Amino acid sequence: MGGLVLHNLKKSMGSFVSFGIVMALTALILNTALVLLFQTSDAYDALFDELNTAEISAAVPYMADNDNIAGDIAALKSVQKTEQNEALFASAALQEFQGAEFTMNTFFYRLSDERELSLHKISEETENGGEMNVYIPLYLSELGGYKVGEPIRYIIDGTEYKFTVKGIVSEMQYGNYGTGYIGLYLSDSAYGKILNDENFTQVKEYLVKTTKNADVASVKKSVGKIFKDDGIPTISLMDSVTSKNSRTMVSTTIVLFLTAFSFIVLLVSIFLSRFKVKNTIEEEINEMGVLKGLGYTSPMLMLSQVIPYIVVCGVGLIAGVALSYGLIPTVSGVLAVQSGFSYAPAFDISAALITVVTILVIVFIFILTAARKIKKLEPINAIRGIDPLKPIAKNRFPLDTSKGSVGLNLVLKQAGASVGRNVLLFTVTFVLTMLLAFTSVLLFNVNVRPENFLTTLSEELPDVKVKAAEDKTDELLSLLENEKVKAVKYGISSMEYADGNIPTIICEDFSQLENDIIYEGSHPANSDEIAIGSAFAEDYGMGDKFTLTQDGTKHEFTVTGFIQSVNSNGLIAEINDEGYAKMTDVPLETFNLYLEDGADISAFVKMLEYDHFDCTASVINAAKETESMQMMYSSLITIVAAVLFIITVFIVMLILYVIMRSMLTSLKTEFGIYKAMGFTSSQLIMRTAGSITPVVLFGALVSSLLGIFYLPMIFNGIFGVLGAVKNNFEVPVFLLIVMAMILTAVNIIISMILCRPIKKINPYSLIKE
Amino acid sequence: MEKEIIISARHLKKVFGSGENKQTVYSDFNIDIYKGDFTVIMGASGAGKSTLMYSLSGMDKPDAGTVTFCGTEITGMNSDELAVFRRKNCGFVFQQIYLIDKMSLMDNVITAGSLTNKNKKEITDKANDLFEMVNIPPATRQKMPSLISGGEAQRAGIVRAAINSPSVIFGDEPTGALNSNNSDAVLDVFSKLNAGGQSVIMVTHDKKSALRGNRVVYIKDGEIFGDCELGTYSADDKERTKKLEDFLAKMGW
Repeated sequence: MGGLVLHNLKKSMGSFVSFGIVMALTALILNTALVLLFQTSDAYDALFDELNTAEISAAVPYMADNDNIAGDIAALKSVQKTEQNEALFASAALQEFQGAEFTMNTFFYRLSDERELSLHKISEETENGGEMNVYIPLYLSELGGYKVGEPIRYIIDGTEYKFTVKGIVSEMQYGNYGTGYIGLYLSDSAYGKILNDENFTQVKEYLVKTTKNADVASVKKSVGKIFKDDGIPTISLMDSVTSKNSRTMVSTTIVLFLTAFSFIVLLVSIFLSRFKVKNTIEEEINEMGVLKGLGYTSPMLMLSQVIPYIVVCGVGLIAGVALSYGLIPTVSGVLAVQSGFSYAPAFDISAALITVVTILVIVFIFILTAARKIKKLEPINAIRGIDPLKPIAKNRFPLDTSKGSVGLNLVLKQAGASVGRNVLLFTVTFVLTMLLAFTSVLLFNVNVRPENFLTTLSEELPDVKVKAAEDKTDELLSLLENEKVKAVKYGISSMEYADGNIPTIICEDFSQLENDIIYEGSHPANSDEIAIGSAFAEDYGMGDKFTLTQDGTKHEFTVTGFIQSVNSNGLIAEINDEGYAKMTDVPLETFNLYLEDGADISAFVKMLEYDHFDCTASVINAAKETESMQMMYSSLITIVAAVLFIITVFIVMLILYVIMRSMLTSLKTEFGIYKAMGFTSSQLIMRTAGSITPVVLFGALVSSLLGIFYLPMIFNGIFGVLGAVKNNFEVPVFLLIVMAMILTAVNIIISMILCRPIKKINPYSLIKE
Repeated sequence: MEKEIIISARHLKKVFGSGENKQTVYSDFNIDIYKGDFTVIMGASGAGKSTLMYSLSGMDKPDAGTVTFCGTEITGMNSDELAVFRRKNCGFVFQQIYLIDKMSLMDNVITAGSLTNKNKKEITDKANDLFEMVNIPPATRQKMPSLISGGEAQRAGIVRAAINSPSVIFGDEPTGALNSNNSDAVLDVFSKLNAGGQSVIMVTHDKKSALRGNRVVYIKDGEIFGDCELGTYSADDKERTKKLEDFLAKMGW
């Protein structure tokens, strides 16, 4: 039987190579996804443990702290160790972050401070530097583009602070802005320079290491209660679980996406292999009849068909797994940009076994069921070419009575000739169109209508953010009115709630904003109303009471709605300015400005900065910030989309190669007859390539049009995971139809190229056969 | 009256294989085929009868020499030019019939007819006339090739070959796979077509089939070994039969 297996393998080498490549591709993607899935979390935990990171960290104003706190925290159940550190805190506007300004809640630590908890690891460092040296987290370096040895600038309350990046640190507490806070480590001299600067708040940091298997959320709640009971406001109160979730969110999403993609490719390859097996049996029915007549049993013949696939599949899978280790560091590097921590993925035997064994078993089962047809072949009937399961062909589109030209009907006849081929083509086209539709709609919403993408991820996106100088609010508003600029009083302040701190949006009139982030209920309309983030949706309902504390003053609000925020993982709230005023005397002097369409925003910002500097404390070109954010996502998504498109075209090529090879083999005699009649090679190529068009076009159009329904579901699912319950994505029908047309055109072009061997078919040689 | 030459072959050379497996079918073959003739090519197995016929029809290219068909030299044409030439000038009837099995008999014929005529009704009408001539009833015309007898299929094959009114119909042992009754029916169709002025070239092993021709060319050792003019076919012409038998005996048949 070995000879027979080898014979089958050699006979369709081209198709087996294609099949092997598709399997390798499947294994490459799946193994990459699995390795990242298995190792990212472990690597995170390993680094977390290595740096002895505290499970809970809290920062309170130094002035408000008291001596009892440390003891109270240490006395809590499940607390293993506590530590206190000094730091400086500011809402600092980082300059030239991807070319724009990015305001972040920033903790400034002294690098030389002795620590036992939440350590940092210097991953890169330069000998050079100056007096104002800073070590920045990997997140700022990777995402913001700050290099070691280069300057980094902050503006805090109108004052510029210039540091030199002395090194890059890995740390697991404030190493990523997904938590809403970022941590920097300053040299002694730099720390000393800003220590008494009034733009910074001196803070006491409490770090809490819990015992193994402790309920971190519950300990965090208890810690929060201690501060609350002592009347100490918290600047931040974080736990390791929330922090890990926010830092690994994008990588988890991408891993899930890769897994889904690999299963799509697997599905396609299974259909492909089943088609090929069935097709081979049909083509070689006489040969199988002869072999059965000689004494070969059905299981032997079935195995002779199945084994080559399993061998090729196995080789392809192992190759794919091996190749994935070339890809994994790159993907892991891309993910490190978001997660803010990097690690070197190692060979993962479980991922490799799952990839290889699972796919092999699936392929084996599907191919074996396809090969079962051999059992039903009776030797003598098979020798005569009688396929017991194949119905007698019907004369579809009779040429004498069907409408349309003979040429068109010949194409349609050929198109309808093989149900198996059509099912395969339809399935493949449907699935690949889904991929293309997803990719193109994603690209459309990121590049053509970036506001859809950005408003889904972000809160408000004004053109300019401005803070009025002290007692100059009226003057500024009057100036803005003259300039016909819409100004809405808007700000974000970190406020305390029962379990810690949340960013709270304050606005004079939410109806004036341009991005409606409410997904249920309504915005707060009076001083006692509040809308809260999606993260609270499980614990709070409409009409429930929600208490916020600002500057030591508590106020109880009634929940009127729920808002979304990807940046804050749904841990956010919004109140109106009257509600804000009930808690603090500090006036809200920041405004979102909206210029007329087409206005020169940079010129307007310059005008405020230079001509009216007396009435502004700070002016931020928010549009530029938005543009920079869009560019950052746009380049990442464009790369992903391009890769997906290339993979899709590659899969189309491989599938079509197998289909066309099968067609050319089974129709070889027929092509000879046509040529003898006088049909030219180009006519036959056009007709053969054209014969797949109806089903491809149908599959692509059906998939595209169904995309109107399934794409919003997919996007809702993805953004739901990211924390955006409602997304603003458009699904343009024209784009879906264009993608369907492109896929169909690609199919036709590739088919025509693959049909070129028809030219070599010589009618005379066929007749001789 | 002198006959008009429809195909003229000069210095044809055809070699199969190479090296030790090299087999020269013919090295300097010359022949003229006349318009309106029913030319029968005979010879022992492997003599190169079919090879010659396909070289003359442009289905296969000789290694050297020229073939002039209806005044056009076809040996220099590329495969697509030859295809276009064949659709207008050649009709083929094969031993294995080679109807396209996914099409009804009618569709097989219309497919060939559509190559020279875009008017579907005209093609269909002409196909029906030809089907009438070969005694295939309307219901059978709509059947698939696998559901009819070999004789019916071969007659449908002749209709397909004749649909474009080609200059020459080539028959490659068209009765080789048929029983006696079916063979007669098929040969009758050839005779009927020839009687209507259609030029026919037929390769055969069969004496009965050869009797249908007015000219029998016997090939041996890569050249014309004998060329016999039998005269017009007549069903019970014993003199023709005797003449053919004598000729074939002389050829060593």
